[in-house]
Amino acid sequence: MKKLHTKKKAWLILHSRQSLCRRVRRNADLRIRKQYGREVTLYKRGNTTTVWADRGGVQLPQDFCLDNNTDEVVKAISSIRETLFSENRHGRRIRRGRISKWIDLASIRRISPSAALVLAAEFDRARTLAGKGLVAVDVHRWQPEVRQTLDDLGFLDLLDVEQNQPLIVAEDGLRIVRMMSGEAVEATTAGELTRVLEGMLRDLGLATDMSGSPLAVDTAQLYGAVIEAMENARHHAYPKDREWTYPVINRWWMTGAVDPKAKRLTVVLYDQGISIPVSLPHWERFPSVIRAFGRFPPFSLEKDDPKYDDTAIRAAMAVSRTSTGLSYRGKGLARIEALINTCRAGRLRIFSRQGEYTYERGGRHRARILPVSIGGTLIEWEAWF
Amino acid sequence: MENRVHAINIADEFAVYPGGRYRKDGPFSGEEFRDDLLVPVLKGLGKGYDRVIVILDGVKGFAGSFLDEAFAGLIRKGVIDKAAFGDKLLIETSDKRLSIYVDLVKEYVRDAHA
Repeated sequence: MKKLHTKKKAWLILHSRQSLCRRVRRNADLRIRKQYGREVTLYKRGNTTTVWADRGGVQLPQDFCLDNNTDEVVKAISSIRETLFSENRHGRRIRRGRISKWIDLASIRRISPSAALVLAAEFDRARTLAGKGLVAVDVHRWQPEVRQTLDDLGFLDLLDVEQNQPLIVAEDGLRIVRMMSGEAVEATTAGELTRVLEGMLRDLGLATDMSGSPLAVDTAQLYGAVIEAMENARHHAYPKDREWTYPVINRWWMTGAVDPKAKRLTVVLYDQGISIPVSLPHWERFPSVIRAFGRFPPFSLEKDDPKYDDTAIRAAMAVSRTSTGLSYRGKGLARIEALINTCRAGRLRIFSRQGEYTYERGGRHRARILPVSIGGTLIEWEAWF
Repeated sequence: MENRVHAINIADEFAVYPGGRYRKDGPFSGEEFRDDLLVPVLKGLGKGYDRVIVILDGVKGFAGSFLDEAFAGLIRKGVIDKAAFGDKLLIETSDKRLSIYVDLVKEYVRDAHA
């Protein structure tokens, strides 16, 4: 057998090592591909990066609306919250060219102002607490209308995504006010919201009817109701010395929208606080709440049990509504509801922890239990024109 | 002899966007309006004017908590009594949309206890 030259021998060793490395890399790639399933694009300050994404990303419902897909949306929001606050968040894995915990907004085909606000509030809280580290995934795959709504709301700014491509969306699409947030009772912010909404209605020729009466809602009354809701969040949502499942930043978030197609004006205020059912036993009027149930009070109201959250909100509203001869305190919820009676047609919905309360003008007060908590209190006024 | 009147226009002298109840909760509160504007003027009753009129015109709207603290708060703090309300202190507006707040103030004052 011919003896190999030293140089040839060295070349063969090097070649076999390189080939082994290539094979190991290829096998690792196949393993990642098998585990992670697909490549996604991450957006950050105008830059994009392609990484492998875990199959287990949070898939959101196509109809991301709190009006006709309530249960699925609150469940999805709960998953989003869990993902945003799980220990193994985006950051560490992205550096290795893959993400394991992520939220796929591309599946959304329709989004309502209230659902968009809760989504944005969750991201805002996570961003505030983490400082940075949140990135947007596959923005190019998002539905143009959904992307436009989220951009108008200010959601893309939370993720440092630059909206540099003009979107083609319907002229009669949803018009949403940029998200506003604060800790105090901010009168000028409430005024700004009503001013912007008035402008939107005026642009659409929907501000007033022939006689000069407001078509959708009297904005003076709306302004007052928004202040009451801010005050409620300020006074009751974030008590001190409370242990929280998820950390809080003591804020409220607010937006408003006009939907010309659905002929609907929406105003919504959300906080991530303890909720009405939890704060209820600390009300100075709690004895009246218990008395309102006659001989059979649901004792669990005092036991922090979400099973009775529908009853708790109903009771809080009823006591607030019927309070007479007492100081004003506690009447805030009633004033929040009274706005609906000044609209031609409208609806108030209050989601608080696991309860949903609805009052439609001229209709009954209804309440029901949600499958999971909404993570605070959401007050939504809708007026139809 | 005709009563001399001191008029306070909330929009011009205080805020177009009034806030909530307490000063600690944010600017333009009912407490701030009462203590900084209304009480000093009411203390001057009989010294150059016999009545105080608060004009609501030009204001964006009100939260009930603002009105309660500003006006019913006068009763609770003992600044004036219920009988003097409507006689020495009047609330007025020429804006139809704001007239509901005149009635609300009357309701809160009626329910207030010194």
